[in-house]
Order: sequence, then structure tokens, then C-alpha cells
Amino acid sequence: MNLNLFDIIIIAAYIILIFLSGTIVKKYVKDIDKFLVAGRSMGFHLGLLSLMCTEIGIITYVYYAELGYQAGLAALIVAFPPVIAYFFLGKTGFIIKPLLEMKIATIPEFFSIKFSRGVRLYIGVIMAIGGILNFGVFPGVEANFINIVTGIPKDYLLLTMVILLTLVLLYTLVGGMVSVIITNYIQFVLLSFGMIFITIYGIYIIGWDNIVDSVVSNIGEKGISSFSPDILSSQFGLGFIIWQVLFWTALLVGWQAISMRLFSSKNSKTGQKIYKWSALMFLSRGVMPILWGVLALAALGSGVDSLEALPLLILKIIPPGLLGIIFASLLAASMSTYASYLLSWSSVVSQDIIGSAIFLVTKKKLNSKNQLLVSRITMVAVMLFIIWWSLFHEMEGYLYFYLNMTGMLFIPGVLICVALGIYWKKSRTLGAYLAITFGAIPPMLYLIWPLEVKEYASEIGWGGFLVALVGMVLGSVIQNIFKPKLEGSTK
Amino acid sequence: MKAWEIFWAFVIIFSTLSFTYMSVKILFRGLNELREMFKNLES
Repeated sequence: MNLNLFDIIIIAAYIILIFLSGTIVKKYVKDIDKFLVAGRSMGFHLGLLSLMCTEIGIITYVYYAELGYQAGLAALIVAFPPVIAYFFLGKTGFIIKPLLEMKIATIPEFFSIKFSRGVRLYIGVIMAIGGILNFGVFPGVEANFINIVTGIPKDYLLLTMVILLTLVLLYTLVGGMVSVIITNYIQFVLLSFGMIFITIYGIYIIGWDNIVDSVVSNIGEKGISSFSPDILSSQFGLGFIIWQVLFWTALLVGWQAISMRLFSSKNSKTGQKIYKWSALMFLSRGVMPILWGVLALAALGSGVDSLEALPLLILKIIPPGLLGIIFASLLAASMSTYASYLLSWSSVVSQDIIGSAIFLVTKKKLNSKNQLLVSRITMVAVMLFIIWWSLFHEMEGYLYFYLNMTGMLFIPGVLICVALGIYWKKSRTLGAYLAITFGAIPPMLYLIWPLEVKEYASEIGWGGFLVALVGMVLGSVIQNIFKPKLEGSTK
Repeated sequence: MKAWEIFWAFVIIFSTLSFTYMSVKILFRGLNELREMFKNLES
């Protein structure tokens, strides 16, 4: 065991505090709107804090650190596309302002308003598959991380996952978004302290000159310059940047865990402000963990499994007595992400798949009480699935690209449908079906084809958006020719 | 290569300082918003 008694007391105190604060809010959750979007009562600072907690987990640290460990300082370029996307959407209100004014709870709801309930069901299914496959690798990667830092033997991987997820599930089931927000606040105190401490202390212990020397000797010039040998053929070159800017713009519109934060904000002005300032926070969210990967390269050398570099670095540099606080901060990051993702993906399954299917068959909506019950049952089902997937899925290539590509199964279709659905009057239902279908094909090929194809991640990435656009235009034109829109109809 | 090295050093310092500032700010102001949110949920 790598933790002493003091460390264990700190971790236990943190878990008890989170559990109690997450469950005492039950009395506030009386309907599905309060459960999913906290009654749309979230202010700017709380929204920003909650968004950061959602999008920073141990998994975030691990995949960014993997990039830093393998690609050196050059990988820091990966932190910039989200900054561009957040700032652009926050500043201009492009897409997000009309969405906020529609007062929807999930993105697929937009599809039933603009296109048809069938499209909502279809995007809901693809979104759930992509989202849950993405979420499905979290428990395995994170439990492995926890086991290395704590010294718990790897035989207890499954048990670690089950305990971690059950704790999160219990308070999220009870309080929904209200629980998530209050626990996020406590978690952010620890999370921010941990991130700042590891960064400053790591640079202080290892030294900047050693960091640069280690990158040059292990990776060479391309470990420092992101555009080496040139901007077109570099793995982080122009193609990668175009794909990532499109990808992040789409994520901010259609990634359920992010857009639910947006929809929980008090008004459209607050939502835009949250996005604008998130640009700055997301720069740090990328830069700090990528740097930790580079620190791991300098401290441990190049012979370590890249997914284990970060926990081994933490064990090596964090002094005894501080490990408990740092571990609690990592656990905080992880639990807040689980809570939000469980809520997000189960809401897609319960609201957009089950709810839409019931309506299509019976022509009646579920009442709020039954919606709550279905949401809670699907949450448990999602948790069981991701534990199973974590145990049986084997990772190939960068973890970062796997996570991107599972999201890409629906993200290009969502961005194209939402953007053109809002701004192009001739967009039609057939166009939406084709955009979603075409956009899903390139990432699907990436996920099932052999390892060699994984070198073309950037091309597959931006290609997904291009074919989704082709699908939307083609389908809409065909439908407009054979079945023109009725006067006054929005669909 | 030296230019990239200086650029990355600047990016790391900037992002660490801005994250620290923003974290303190949102924790401090977020507390008031938390109180306000519960008032709204109660009503």
C-alpha cells in the first residue's frame, strides 16, 4: 500500500463529505426538469465550475499525459482547438444562442422540433452508442490509475471500478443535476489545488532544462516543434487542427455532458458567458496534463506503458503526507465526471430513445414521475454496461483518438444538422437522416479497421464533417424536389 | 526550435497563472450563486 494512515483519513473524509452533500439535496428534486437541468437556475461562476468538473477527470489527465509522454512538448498544440471553439461560440452566440432560446433539455429534442420524432430517435440511438462506448473505457483506465497510485493489487480492478461507480451512482440517482452541482463545488476545490500543485511542484523538482533535454534526446526536434517536419505532414499539422476545431465546435453543441451545462444556465447571456470564459480554462485543462506527460518522460524515461506514465510520475514526485490530498483531488475529478456522464447519457437513453419510442407507439408522453423512474433505471443500466465494456475492450492507438472517434460517431451529424437546421431554411428531414448516417461512417471505419488506418485519424476526422455536409445538402435537395415544404411549415 | 521552446514556456506559465486566478474567482463567487440556486429551487 502506497498510502499512509493520514492519507487514508483524508480520502475517507472526502468521500463521506461528497456522499452526504450529494444526498441531502433530495428534497429539492421534485420533477424531471430539476433532475436534469437543476430547474435552469445555474449562474455564471457555478456553470463554469460545473463544466470544468465535468470535463476534467482522471481519464482527461491520462489521455493528455499519454500525448505529452509520447509526443513531447509538441503535443501542447492539442490544447488550442477547444480554446478557439469555446471563444468563437461564446463570443458570437453562433448556434448556441438559438438553442438556449428554445429552452430544450437535450440536443435530440431540437431534432424533433426542427425535423421529426423519427430523426430524434435515430440521433438518440447513435448518440447513445457513441457516448456510452466513449464512457465505457473510463472505469478500466481510471481503476488502473487508482490501483497504481494506491498500491491496491491489479486483481482488484473490477472491485475498484464497482465501488467508485456505485458511490457516484447513489448520489446522482437521488439528486440528479442538483447533486452534481453541489458535489462539483467541493470537488473543484480539490481538483484545482491538485492541478496547480502537480504542475508547479513537478517543474520545480525536475527543472525546465531537464524537461527540454529529455524531450530532445527521446523524441528529437519533432518533440518540441508541433509542425515538424512541416505544417502539412506533421501529426499535429493543419489537417489535425482543422479537424479538432470542427470537432470541438461540434462537441460544444452536441456533447450531452457539455450542452446540459449550457441548458442549465439561467439565460442565453449567461450560457454564452460560460462558454467565452471556458476558453481560458480549457487551455489549462489541456496544457497542464500534457505537461505532466512530458514531466513523466523526463522523470521515468521512455520505457514505461504510456497510459501508466502519469500515475507512476505522481508516485515518484509527490512527497508522503501529500499523496492523500493529491489522490483525493484526482478522485474528485473522476467522480464529478462520472456523475455528469451517467446523468447525460442516461438522459439520452431515457428521454430521446425510450421516451420517443413510447410516444411513436402510444402517441402519449410519459408523465414526469415515470420519466424520473426511467432515467434512474437507465442510469444503473449504463453503469453496468461501462463496467463490462472496460473489462473486455482492448485499446489500440492513442486513447485520445479512441475517445475522439467514439464521439465522432454522432458529432459531425449533430453539428451539421443543428447548424443548417437553424441557419438554412431548406434543410429537411431526409437531409438530417443522411447527414447523421454519412457522418458516422468514417469514424466507424477507424474503430473497426486495422491499426495501420489509425495513422489517418485527422483525415478521417475532418472527412466525417465533410460527408455529413454532403448528406444534409443531398437529402434536403432531393426532399425539396419530390416533397416541397408546405407554406408556413417549419419541418 | 528555440522559438518553440520559449513559446511553450510562455504557454505553460500563462495557463497555470490564469487557471489559478480563475479557480479562486469562481470558487469565491460560486458560493453565493449556490445559495441563490437553492433559494430558487425551494420556491
